[in-house]
Amino acid sequence: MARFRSGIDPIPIRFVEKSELLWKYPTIQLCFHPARSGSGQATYHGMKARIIITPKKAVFDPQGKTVQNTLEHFGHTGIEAVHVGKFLEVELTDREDLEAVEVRLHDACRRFLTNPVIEDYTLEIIHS
Amino acid sequence: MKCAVLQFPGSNCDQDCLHVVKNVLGQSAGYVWHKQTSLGDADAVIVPGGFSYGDYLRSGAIAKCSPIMSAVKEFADRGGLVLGICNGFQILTEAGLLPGALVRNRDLKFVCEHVLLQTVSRGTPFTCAIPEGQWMRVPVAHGDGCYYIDPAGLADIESHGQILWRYVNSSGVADEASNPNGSIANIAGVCNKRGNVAGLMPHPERASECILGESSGLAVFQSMVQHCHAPILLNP
Repeated sequence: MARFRSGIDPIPIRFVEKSELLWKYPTIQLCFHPARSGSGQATYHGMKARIIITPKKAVFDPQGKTVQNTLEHFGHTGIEAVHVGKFLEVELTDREDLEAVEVRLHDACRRFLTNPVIEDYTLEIIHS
Repeated sequence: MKCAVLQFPGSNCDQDCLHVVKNVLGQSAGYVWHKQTSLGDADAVIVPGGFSYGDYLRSGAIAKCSPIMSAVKEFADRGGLVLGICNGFQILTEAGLLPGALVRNRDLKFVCEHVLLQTVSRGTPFTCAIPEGQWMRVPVAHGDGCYYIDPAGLADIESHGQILWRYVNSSGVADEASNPNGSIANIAGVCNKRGNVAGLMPHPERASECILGESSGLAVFQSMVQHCHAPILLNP
């Protein structure tokens, strides 16, 4: 668990192990190293797809704005924007060709998991 | 008019819609469960409000994948009337039958109040019976009713007369105060290019009887009945 300089621990956030804290993209911080998660998750030996969904920049994000206002209320400065999105983790049962899996998942993202009118997404395949 | 009122897990305005069509207007109406694959001989379909699938993932995102929606798309392609109310509007945008999308209300609050609707385009099967110059006073009840469309899309629907209703104040001005959810251009409802599919966030079925305090919403359903008897020429 991370603590901010102010000493306040407002929200549980896991740091990305290879990146600095990205105020702009808090949802990316969910891509944690499994060995350091400390979450008590069961060990999984298949492929996982991690999908991060965020509102398009052109779409007004009242949740993001409210979170930003609250962070600033706690004294955090230097925040340009906060975007509140969704995180999906898809555990895959079959060890298929990676390329084929990615094609299927991108199709699922475009057709169902996201609304391309209002959302962007990133997709990452993790091998355990 | 034979009207099919869809039911999804979580729909809660289906009974109100059926009541208005059947008991207030004296038309034929029946429920169609979301797992059915046929609409029978319906002339019109109403996709009612509610919280289909608990609004999981996104409002209407899972309902759009229900088996009945294939039949609804084919029905719409043939020119059949489809009206989506509140969650129904969300489902139709998710299904690609209407342009744009509905997102979280600007103020993040669930709004539950009466709004005034100005009818922008009266040449559709959903607005033809609304008297010119008459505003509808209709309740809204939603947390994700902010209509969004990109600038090019907005220009497109404006030029094609696809905006059906706007939120206005008592002076007929579409200002910010009269906009309950932050919708772009105060848009409350739109139709497709052809004019046979429409959606709106307010609930006309809750404003269709004097005993409920408001009856101006009945004109939406009366328009559909009128179209069934004397069809308006739809866009190609």
